[in-house]
Amino acid sequence: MLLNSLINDALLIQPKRVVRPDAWTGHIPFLSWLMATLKPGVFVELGTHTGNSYLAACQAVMENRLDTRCHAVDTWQGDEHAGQYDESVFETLVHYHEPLYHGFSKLMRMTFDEALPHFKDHSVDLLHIDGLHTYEAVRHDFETWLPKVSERGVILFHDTAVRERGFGVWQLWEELQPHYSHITFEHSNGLGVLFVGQDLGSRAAPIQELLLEWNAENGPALKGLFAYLGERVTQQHQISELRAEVTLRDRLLAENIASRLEAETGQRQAVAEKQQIVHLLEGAREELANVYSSNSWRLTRPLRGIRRLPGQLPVKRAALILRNAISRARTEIQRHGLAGFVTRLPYYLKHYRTYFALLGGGSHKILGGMFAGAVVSVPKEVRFHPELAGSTEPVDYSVSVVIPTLNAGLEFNWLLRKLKGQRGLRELEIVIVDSGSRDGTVELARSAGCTVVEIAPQEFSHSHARNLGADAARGDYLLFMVQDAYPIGEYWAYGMLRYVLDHAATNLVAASCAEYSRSDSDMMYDSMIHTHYRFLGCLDYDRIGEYHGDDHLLLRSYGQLSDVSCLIGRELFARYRYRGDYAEDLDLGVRLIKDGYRVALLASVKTVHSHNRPAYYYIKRSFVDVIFLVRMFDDFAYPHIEAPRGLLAGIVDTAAHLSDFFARYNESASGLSLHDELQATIHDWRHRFAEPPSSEVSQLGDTQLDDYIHSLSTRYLDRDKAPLTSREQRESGRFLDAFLARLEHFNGFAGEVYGAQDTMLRHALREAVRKTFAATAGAGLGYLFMDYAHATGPEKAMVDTIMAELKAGI
Amino acid sequence: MRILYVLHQFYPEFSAGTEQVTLNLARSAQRAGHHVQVLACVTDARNSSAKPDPGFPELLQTVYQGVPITLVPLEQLTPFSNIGFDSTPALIERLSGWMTRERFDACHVLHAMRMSDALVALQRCKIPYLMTLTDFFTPCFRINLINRQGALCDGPDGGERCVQNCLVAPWTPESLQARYRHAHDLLTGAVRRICPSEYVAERFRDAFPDLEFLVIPHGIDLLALTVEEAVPRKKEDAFVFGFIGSIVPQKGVDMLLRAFARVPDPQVRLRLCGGLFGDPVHIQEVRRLMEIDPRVEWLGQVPHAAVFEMLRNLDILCLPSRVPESFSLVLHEACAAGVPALVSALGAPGALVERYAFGRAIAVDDEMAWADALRNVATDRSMVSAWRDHVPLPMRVEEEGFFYDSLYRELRPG
Repeated sequence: MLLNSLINDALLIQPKRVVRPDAWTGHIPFLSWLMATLKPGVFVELGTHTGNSYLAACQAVMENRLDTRCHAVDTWQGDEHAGQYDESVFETLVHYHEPLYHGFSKLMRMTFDEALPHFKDHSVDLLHIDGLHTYEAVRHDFETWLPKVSERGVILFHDTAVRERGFGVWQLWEELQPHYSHITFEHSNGLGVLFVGQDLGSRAAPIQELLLEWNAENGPALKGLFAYLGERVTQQHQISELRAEVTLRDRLLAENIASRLEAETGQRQAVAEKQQIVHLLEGAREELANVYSSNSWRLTRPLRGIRRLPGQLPVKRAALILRNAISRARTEIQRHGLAGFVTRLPYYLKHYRTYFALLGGGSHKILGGMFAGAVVSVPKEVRFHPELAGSTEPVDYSVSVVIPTLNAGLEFNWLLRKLKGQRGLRELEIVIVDSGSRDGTVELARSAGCTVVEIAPQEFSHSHARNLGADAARGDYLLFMVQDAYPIGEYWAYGMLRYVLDHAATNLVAASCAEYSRSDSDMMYDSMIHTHYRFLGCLDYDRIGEYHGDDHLLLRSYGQLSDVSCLIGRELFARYRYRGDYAEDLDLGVRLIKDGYRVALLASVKTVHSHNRPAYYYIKRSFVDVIFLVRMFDDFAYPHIEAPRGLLAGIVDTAAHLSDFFARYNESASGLSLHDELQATIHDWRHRFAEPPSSEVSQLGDTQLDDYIHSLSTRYLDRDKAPLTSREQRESGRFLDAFLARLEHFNGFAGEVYGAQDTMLRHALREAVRKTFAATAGAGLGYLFMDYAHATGPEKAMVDTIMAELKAGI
Repeated sequence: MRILYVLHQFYPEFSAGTEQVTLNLARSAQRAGHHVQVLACVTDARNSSAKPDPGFPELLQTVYQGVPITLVPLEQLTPFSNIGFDSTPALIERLSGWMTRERFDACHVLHAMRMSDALVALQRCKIPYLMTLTDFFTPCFRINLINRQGALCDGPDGGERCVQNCLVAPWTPESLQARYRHAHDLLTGAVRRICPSEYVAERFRDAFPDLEFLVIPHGIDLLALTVEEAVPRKKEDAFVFGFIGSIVPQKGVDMLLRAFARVPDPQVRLRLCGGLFGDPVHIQEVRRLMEIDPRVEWLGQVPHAAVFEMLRNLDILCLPSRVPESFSLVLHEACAAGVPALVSALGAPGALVERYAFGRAIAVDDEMAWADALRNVATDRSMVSAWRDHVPLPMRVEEEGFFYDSLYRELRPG
């Protein structure tokens, strides 16, 4: 029963840190056991010195997960028994103690009497008295601290067995024994354990049993057990100390040998020195690999390497290394203790390159005033986003953000959070107009406090949905945006409004932001948007548009607004509203500038938005764009399609050639830059794609696109029935030219941006070529529709069918 | 524009926070139509797959995620390049020639360590630059503002405090003071000086009172992560604390483990994610602490893409750092996932949590205080729920990219 209570993990503690003098180490197993059993709320040690007992107590707290607050009280200046010692004792203790035990333990550098007011009466469960050992001193300590000890308290007295040099603990111990339950250890200078607490019921069962057995039959066995365990700890410490000493002596021996070799080696030439250092480092690296492949040589081999080192170096360098090494070693030993330093030796050696370089470094090679001549370019006069400019003074206007939604997806939550975090406005309202979402978009919007307008899917058009949103809005200004856009910064809406307000006197009434590509945008989209904003003049600077005539390029350039983000006064919008089913934003801008207003496209404030659509999307999108532009602008000139079969043959044959190319395309890195490779490829295709392909099969890697091209071929081309006429062949050639022209345009962008290729770029290039082809095909089919929409016969039926197929979903 | 990004190390050899930020910015700039290149140091050139530059064979070239990289082998630098601003004339000459050939319009410096030669070459080539101060290397050769005594430094005080508190070999008082002067000159030469957090900006304003510092937080690539937010778990589910990051002494994981051990609740878990590096004694201790508590789960290093998924399954992120962090990517990713945090009351994470009240900032390295906090959080889940409502939305990489793109316009030639 007793042994079951006694033998636990705490008894078998392996103290992490023991230093000389080690008179206390024999009691560490008992202390650990007592801590784990007593579970003191507060432990106080009077007289800590190097910390053998105190740190063991802290270790016991941690290993047994105790809620104990520990306090070490000492002046750390020594006394007549411990001798006077310097600051290094305290500093070494602090370096070890703080990182490990700072959370629950406190080193109190003061006298015992000065520490008294820091503790309430009856608050200390375990007190260890190990200060000055004269009878008078220890009696004083006992009497002054006894009131602090709790009802279940225990007091430890060290050195109860020492009867020399004026030690008087034994005397006090003899006086106290008759008055309290106690046990006495004789080993390790003796330890008296006084159970002063009067609340016997609160005593842990193992302690009760220990007291019962101590003076009974099992007493000698118990004393022997604790003495044995204590001796084991002491011996372990002495063995490890000897090991460290051996290591240290080995090092000193190595240094001694090294310095003698240095003297013999003499000074060497600088060039040779450099070569030798490099050689040496290479050798050391190899050695290190060997070290880690062999455990038994792990410690000794690097030391041998060091022994050889100075012999191969010039005297000055070696001396410098030695001096700096000793300085560094001293620092590390102060920080971790000698044992910690020795344990870390393999780690230091693993990083030998860094250490050797620094240790062997002489004076710094710093150029005088090396950075003083920096040329600071004069900042350009550019308008910045409010958060960069620091101009965020609030404005007293409210803004309603209007967003048409349909299954807005997971990112919609981010958008709502971002909008709700907008600052600088009196109020920001969010109005969504949903046309049949089934993914929780409406519920999310409602829970976020948005105004929600629901319409049937068939009721949706871009204009109608936005107009309904505007009708439901209450803000002074409307800010139309789309569900997959994202504001930049917390002052995004403010920045747009601020711009409009700042320019209101010049009749500026609406503003849109340029887009900034998402991190998942594709190369072709980036190229397109770059070209687009360059055309609009807002690539780098804000641009204000106004009416300059009815030329379609001028109207498109100066009247451009964008639904991705478009801010306009609510009352003004009510007079214009959106109209039509496509490009309603451009239509609104053109109407505004024709009426004498001005509109802005901003580069100082942008919106995160871009697409990474499949190639098939581009055939549809380009088709619809062409038709819209031709219909909207009377003067919009487009290339007419003289031979519909020729256009279709051009699309089908180019797809077949590209399929063959893609089948052989290697996505691993190329030796050429992206631009140079594409340039060479375009040159090659100009000749090779003009020849008939080996088959008409389209395998571009986009199933919808391949299927559609196949269906165009089977429905309308039918080469078996009639070969292409020369006119049709020329039309086919014009399609190839158009495709290559688009690729060259793209390559202009790519040449500016990209350099050498890796797998990622080559994959992106393949995608860009595929999408460029699809966009060219879509535009060609759009021209075809415009030319034959009013014709009669099979061509009319063909273009109407194509129109229905390609417009769907855009 | 042709933009050069300069930092101390880069992919594929290293992939820490500054490397990630640089890659994000470089790729954003590409999408915006700029030509970009990265100049960094390679510490293990022999095992690098980079090839010699045909015009400058001492420099190595490679491409990472579409971004061209030029690497300077570490052997070409002075040994002091890891701690100071030393340089070698031959390398300056070489890099000047390389920069001239590449016709850069502007440079964005993201870390000055090992890059003194490149920075001098920039000046010779009259290339304007802006600096992002991703950590404290510029004012502090120890990088983390923790002095030799283990205390938080109050600033270099013109180098005097470095001499007073951190004078170790091979430094001399003169060289430490010179280091401060060079740091000041380097910052003065920048068109803009940007800090990733207000905390960092304040430290730099203290260190260099005559200079202005702008704050642009680093962005999170939300699109690369799963965007679903964490789902608050049921009452009967285990309550999961988590740590994500390198397990090194500075991160305080050992203290967290000890604090966690003081919370004897069988319904709580501690999930650790990250590799064990550095001090072998610390590694041994952390391993031991992990092994003795079955409630602790160590996942080792996980790919960055998996971090967000892990965050979503945490109740609380714990960041018990012992050093002031300039910015914590994982804390901002936790914000993106809607996860509250317990952090050390130190550095940018402490300031962020206190500003938005989405967790608690706890005394640095105070095991008992951490244990109290863990216990309180685990037993009062309504508090966690309230914290969730305050989790701020982090900045996206696109926003960060745009802000820098705006600043690059200032550097545009002509």
